[in-house]
Order: sequence, then structure tokens, then C-alpha cells
Amino acid sequence: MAPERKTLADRFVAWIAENVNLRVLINLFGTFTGFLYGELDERLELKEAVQKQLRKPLSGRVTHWGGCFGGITFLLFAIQVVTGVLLAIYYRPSVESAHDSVLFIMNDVRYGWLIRSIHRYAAELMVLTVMIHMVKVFLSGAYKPPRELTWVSGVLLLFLTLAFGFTGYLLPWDQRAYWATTVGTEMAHSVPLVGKYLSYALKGGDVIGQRTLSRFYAMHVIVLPWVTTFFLLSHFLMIRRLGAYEPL
Amino acid sequence: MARKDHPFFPHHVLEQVLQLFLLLAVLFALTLWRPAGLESKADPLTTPEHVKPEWYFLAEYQVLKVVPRTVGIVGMSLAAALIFVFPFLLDRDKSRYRPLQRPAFYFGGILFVILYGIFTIWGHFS
Repeated sequence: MAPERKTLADRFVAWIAENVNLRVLINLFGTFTGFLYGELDERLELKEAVQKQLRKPLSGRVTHWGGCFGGITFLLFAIQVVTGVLLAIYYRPSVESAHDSVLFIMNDVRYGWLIRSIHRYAAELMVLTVMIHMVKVFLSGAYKPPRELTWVSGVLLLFLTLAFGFTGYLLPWDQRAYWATTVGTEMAHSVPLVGKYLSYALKGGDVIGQRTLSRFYAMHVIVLPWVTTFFLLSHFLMIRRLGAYEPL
Repeated sequence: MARKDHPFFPHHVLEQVLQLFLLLAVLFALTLWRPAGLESKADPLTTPEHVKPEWYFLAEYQVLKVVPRTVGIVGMSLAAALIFVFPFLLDRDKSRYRPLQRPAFYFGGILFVILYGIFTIWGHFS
């Protein structure tokens, strides 16, 4: 076994462990909030189950610095959910008012520019980190049995991330959005046999218009988030049960 | 290599919180450096001079520009399908993890990444 390297995170955790008595903190938390879930806990023994899950030791791979890209991708997804909900409050998905509502978010909504910019940058970072994660998993051979399905769910999550990017790009309804989507749907059009129907289904018609915007919006804020959540959960569950890989 | 001294809570959760704050710092910095832009309202009648997809679709975009479209689409779809299912078909030997024990996959993977990068950069400058 290679000598363990102390990362910044390791030292931070060690500092917390030395200076903060976490067990006392957790017990105090339980004491003060027990009346909220006590009745439930008596019947379902939640506390025991939760503690067992929390204490479970992790595979060294997940905690190694190079293994952090999957976790960072998840954090970025969480940021996207929060900022995305905030944007959806002001965004109006119609051809007439989408552009105006984004302008309103950028110029008039307090910190709207910040939320939208974070959403934009986190989206691009998310594509980047999910790609790095995938390359690292591939090069280390972590997809070998019994972890094939973890890999499959991961590839699905990559494609879902790209679908998020593709559908989200149209929503501001500016020139760049419109013409990038034109290029995208033209690519779909050149798929042999089904290309025509595929591009028609994407656009909701022969041209990019209100129907395109509506269906991209529905995909971006309803369908994709829930599908992604489902595959994230299965990805994490499989990692919990099977572990990340253990190199020989 | 499971480290018995490294439970999910508090160790891993604290690391994730640390990562979250570093991530937010990066996102704030990027935002302050260059906030997200917005071009003029979409106009189907005016085609801009340079139409390009986002950087993460540039490699595919460039491939479709240099090979015949149908070939490119079919090839890339097959590649995507292969990426999906290959762990059920290939490289399943659990005694070979080190790079030199599985050179075709290790160096093939690196080659793929390099090619992807080249096509992305090519797509950016073409």
C-alpha cells in the first residue's frame, strides 16, 4: 500500500476532529430536535439506520483527490438545481418575452446577474468535470465486473448533462441560442432514415419557434432533472453497495 | 484500500463542504471576471457570420465537417453505443488493472482524449 498523502482536505478534517467534539454536537442536536421525530423513531428506528449509513467507511478511491470529480459534478448539479429554480421564478418561456425576461433578470432582479452567471458557468464546469470523471474511471479500469452497471448509469448521466446543455442553451432566445440550436437540429437531421422525424420532433415543427422553446423548456426544467435525479441515486446506491474499485 | 478511519460522516461530508466552498469561489470569480452575456433577440431572418455550437459539441461538429455526414453520424452513434455497453463485452479480466496489463484500453483511451481535444480545438479555430 502506498504511503497516504495528506491532502488539504485531510488536514482540514483532522483539524476539525481535533478541535470540535462532533459526537457531543451530534448528541446535542439529537437531544434538542428529538421531539420532532421521536414518535417516528420509536416505530421506524430511523436514528439507528441513519447512523449506520453515516458511519460507513468509504473506499479510498472516492476520498483520493483524483477521485473528487464525480463528487464535484454532483455538487455542481446541486448548485444548478438551486440557481435553476431561482431563474425559473423570473424566466418566461415564450418567444415574445423570453429574451426580455432574461434581460430583466440580468439588469433589474437583485443579484439576478450573479445567479444566471453562476448557472451558466456551473453548467460548463459540470460538462468538464463529468468528462474528467469518466476519463479517469476509464483509465483506471474501474468499470470491470461487478461494476458495469455503475459505468452504464454514469454514461447515461453524461448524456443527460449534455442534453441539459443543449436544451438550456436555447432558453435565453438570443441570436447565439437560436443559431446554435439550428446547427444542433441540422445535425439531428442528418441521421440516416429517422433524421427527418428526429429533427421534426426536436423542433416541434419545420422551423424553430414557440413549440421548440416550449418543449426545450419542459425538458430542461421537468423531465431531465427528474431523470437525472433517478440515475444519480442509482449511481450512488451502486457505489455504496459495490464500492468504487479496489486496485490490486 | 477502504480506509476504516474515513467514514462518510463527518470526514467525507466535510470534504464535500470544503469542495463546495472552493467551487463557489471559482464560480464567483468567473462571474466577476466575465458575467454571462446576452446577444440581441433571436431573429430567424438574420444569420450571424459565425455559427458554432457550445465547446462541448465542437469535436462532434468538426468531425461532421471533415467526414461525410452520414458516415460521421453513424460512426459516432456506434461509438456512443460501444461506450455504453463495452464493460459487458471487453476488458473484463479482474486481474489486470495496471496500464501495461491492458495497454490497448489504457493507451486507446488516452488517444481518444487527445483526438477529442484536437477536434475541439480545430473546431474552435476553423
